[in-house]
Amino acid sequence: MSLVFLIVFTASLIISGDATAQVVPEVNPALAIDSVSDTIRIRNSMEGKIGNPKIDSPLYRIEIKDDRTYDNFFSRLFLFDSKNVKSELIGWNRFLPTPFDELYRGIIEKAFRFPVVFVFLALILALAGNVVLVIAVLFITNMTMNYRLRRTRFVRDHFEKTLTDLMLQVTDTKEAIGILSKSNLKKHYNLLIDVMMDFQKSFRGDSDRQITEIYQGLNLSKISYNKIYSMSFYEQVKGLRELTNMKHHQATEMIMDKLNDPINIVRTEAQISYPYANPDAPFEFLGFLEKPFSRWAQVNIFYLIKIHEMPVPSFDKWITSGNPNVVNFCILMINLFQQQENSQHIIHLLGAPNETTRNLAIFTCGNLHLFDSKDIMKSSFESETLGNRIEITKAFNILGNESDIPFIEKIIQGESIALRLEAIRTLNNLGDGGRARLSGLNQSMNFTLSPYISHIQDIRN
Amino acid sequence: MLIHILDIFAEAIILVYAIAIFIVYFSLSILSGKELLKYFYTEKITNFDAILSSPFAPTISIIAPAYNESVTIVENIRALLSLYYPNFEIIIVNDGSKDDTLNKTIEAYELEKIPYIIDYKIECKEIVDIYKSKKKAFNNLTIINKLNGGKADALNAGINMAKGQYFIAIDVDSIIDPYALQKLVLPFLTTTDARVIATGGVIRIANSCKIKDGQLVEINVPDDFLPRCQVIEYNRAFLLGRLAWSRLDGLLLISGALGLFDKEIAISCGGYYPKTVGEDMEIVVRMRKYMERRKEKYKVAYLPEPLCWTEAPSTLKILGSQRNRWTRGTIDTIFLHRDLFFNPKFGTMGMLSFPYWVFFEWLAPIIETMGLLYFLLLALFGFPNWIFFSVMFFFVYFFSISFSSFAILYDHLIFHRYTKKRMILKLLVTSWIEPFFYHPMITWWALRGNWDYFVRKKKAWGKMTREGFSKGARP
Repeated sequence: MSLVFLIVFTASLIISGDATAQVVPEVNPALAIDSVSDTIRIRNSMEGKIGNPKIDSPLYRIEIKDDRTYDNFFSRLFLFDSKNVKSELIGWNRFLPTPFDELYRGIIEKAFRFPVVFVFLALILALAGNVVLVIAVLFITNMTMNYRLRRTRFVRDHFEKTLTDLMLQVTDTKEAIGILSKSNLKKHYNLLIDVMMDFQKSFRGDSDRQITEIYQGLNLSKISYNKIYSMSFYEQVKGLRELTNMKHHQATEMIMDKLNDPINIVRTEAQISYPYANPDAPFEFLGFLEKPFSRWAQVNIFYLIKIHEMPVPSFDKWITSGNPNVVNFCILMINLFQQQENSQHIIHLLGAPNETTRNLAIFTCGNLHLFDSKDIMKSSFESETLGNRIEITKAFNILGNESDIPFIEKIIQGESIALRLEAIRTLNNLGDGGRARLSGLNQSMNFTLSPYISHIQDIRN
Repeated sequence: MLIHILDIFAEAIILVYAIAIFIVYFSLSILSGKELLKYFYTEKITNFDAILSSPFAPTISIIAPAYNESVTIVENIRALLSLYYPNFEIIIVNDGSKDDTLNKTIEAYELEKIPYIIDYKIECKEIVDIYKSKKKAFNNLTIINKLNGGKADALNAGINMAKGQYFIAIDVDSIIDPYALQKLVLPFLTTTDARVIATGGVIRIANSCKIKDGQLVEINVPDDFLPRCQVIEYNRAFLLGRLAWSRLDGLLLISGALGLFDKEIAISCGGYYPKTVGEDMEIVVRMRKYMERRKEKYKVAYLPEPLCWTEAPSTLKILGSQRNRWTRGTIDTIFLHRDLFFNPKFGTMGMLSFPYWVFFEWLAPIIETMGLLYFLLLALFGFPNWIFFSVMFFFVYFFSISFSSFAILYDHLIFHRYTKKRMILKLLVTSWIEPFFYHPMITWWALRGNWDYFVRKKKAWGKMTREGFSKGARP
């Protein structure tokens, strides 16, 4: 209660510029009254009653002060006569129930003796205000969220209907532009762009062209441009995406600008947008990458290529890039698209300094059946990491023949269980010769091989 | 004279501590707000579909320890099998259950024993059998039957079997968002300037929510007071604390109910430590330490998105036992890694987040109780200055509810899960009364945890009464 009072009291002091009545419970015949409001209720603290003040009562001195000399609460508090401010503050106890009177007076007294109390009082007010504000925001947003959701749905339906009519040739582009350029819809153009991009995902050919015509007809590229130059990464990404999807003639230029952007997410978007904006040469941007090429960008680019059935070039052009992310991507693409013509590059990368690059190269050698790589892999086996040794052993599953049995046998005799398992699997797959050697080893080894053989023979493992 | 000095000393400590805690919480909430906004916009422009059919999607192994879970195990596995991700395996570790958890699973998924060579990369109790399904549809499901060794040991067994590049540690009875994997893996794929070693997500309270076939179909605010208080508490911890620590690169805890880890790093640093009850925090600290020692750039990421729902304890007994365990887990980790304390070699972790855990997570209930006892002593002898007391009391109270209100607001603005006004009001009112009823209980259980750790030398999990799907991973 006292806290509510404090809030009300401070707020009123800050806001109010009117005259303030101050009641001091002492006898003072020298009354100086200019005006008294009938509505002011003053508690008679001596009798514990609530009632209208009796002006001529010997118990009160009523002063009406003119605030013109004290502009606001803070100037009263810090710049002017502290005694007046103190007594004024104490006078505000009339808003409090009697039991809190003493506490309130005490707080004011202490606050004037120890200014830190004022700091805490201010903090309490700020925090209480904060809570009130949060509650207000919570309820207002709850209401507006639902309203905005309904409103957005309504406008979206309208946009969708207009575009569907256009797709079904109920209306033509000119007519659609006419409908969409109505002034009440202009503030929803961001939503319109979103709807247009959704439509683009589902339609191809003529419909795609009609949508971009509307985009240009309504001059929506201006909105997208503004987004690109915004400070927010979200807006920048949206802008890039819109210009690219709407096939704007300056999209590539914008993308190139952002390819090495310091903000990771903007950079990724530019990298993803490039193939879409340049379907004839979708990977040319790889040559311009100075910053890392994230795996997320790679995932998205692959997705794009797949759904838009884009032509895939030979990746030998970028496989010698100084950027290890680009090199790794190229190896993956060579592997996925079975680009045998790049086999020499892949074999060369078996000696790359980057461990991941070597790992991918080993994997690709196996997958592309690059038999020339066998000797290199054998010679580098001992110096490789465990992960890459496992990968080499797996590669021999495809590349190996009976001449490799001694190499595989040596791996089986090693300490690593993971390596041993892969080597046994490889030996088992090396035809009859391999299997015969495996049963021979089963007799001679200092450990039982049969559980390993059972393990690898179960296709679920 | 001595009493006077002690008096001043006690007051100074309590005041400085209080000011520090308020400044820290305030700063964390500001940082969280900024980070939350960033996540909100990032999520809006991320096309998660791209990963669903991608050959670039890394393999993830889901490891779920199960102990006496026969009531819900079949349904929980079904929910896990329906997660949206192209490349994942599920490893259920039956940690020596005394009920028919294993038999029910065998029957429901047509499992059979398979020959298997186990590569014990990390020490764990003996794995007795491995089961796989005869049905191709459940090809990615593996059941490990092992001797009982506790949650950490079960997770280690799972890691030994995991084929994925990353593994996700979950409580089998938690409800995982169907999109959780593709979201959790995102930081591993987007971060280019450091190696992401772990990611965590927000855990939410599922009490009073409607659940069908292991999936959440309707979200409600818990009807009971205790779970409702925990909703506020989890919101504060996840949305105001954890997120800010992630931003500061000082996150030390990823909830045991849901966390995605880099398997190679986890194995390199020895996996989960089975002798602690705070294995979820301990492994993160150890992984971080390992990376710091290798001087490799790394990151522990965090997603403020509610990706896992769990039933919170609704009785005092279970809640008390859970909090007792959390406290012991925290102390254990702090003492196991005490070399981190204000050690500049370990960067933000050593200089900022570890001391934060010591002062404001472990010692907070102790200092709070000391303050309370000191005040009671003063009150007994008639010394307290009631004026100052009331000012400070209101300040602390309003700070507390202001902090909770912000947690509710952040959650509402970004995720909008509690859609009805009634729900928000329920949470707000709970946050106003929670400091008087819930907080003292939590403090008491934390003290009991300290007592049990230091005096009774209790290290075990303690007996947990199963109630629905509650095990209680800490926020």
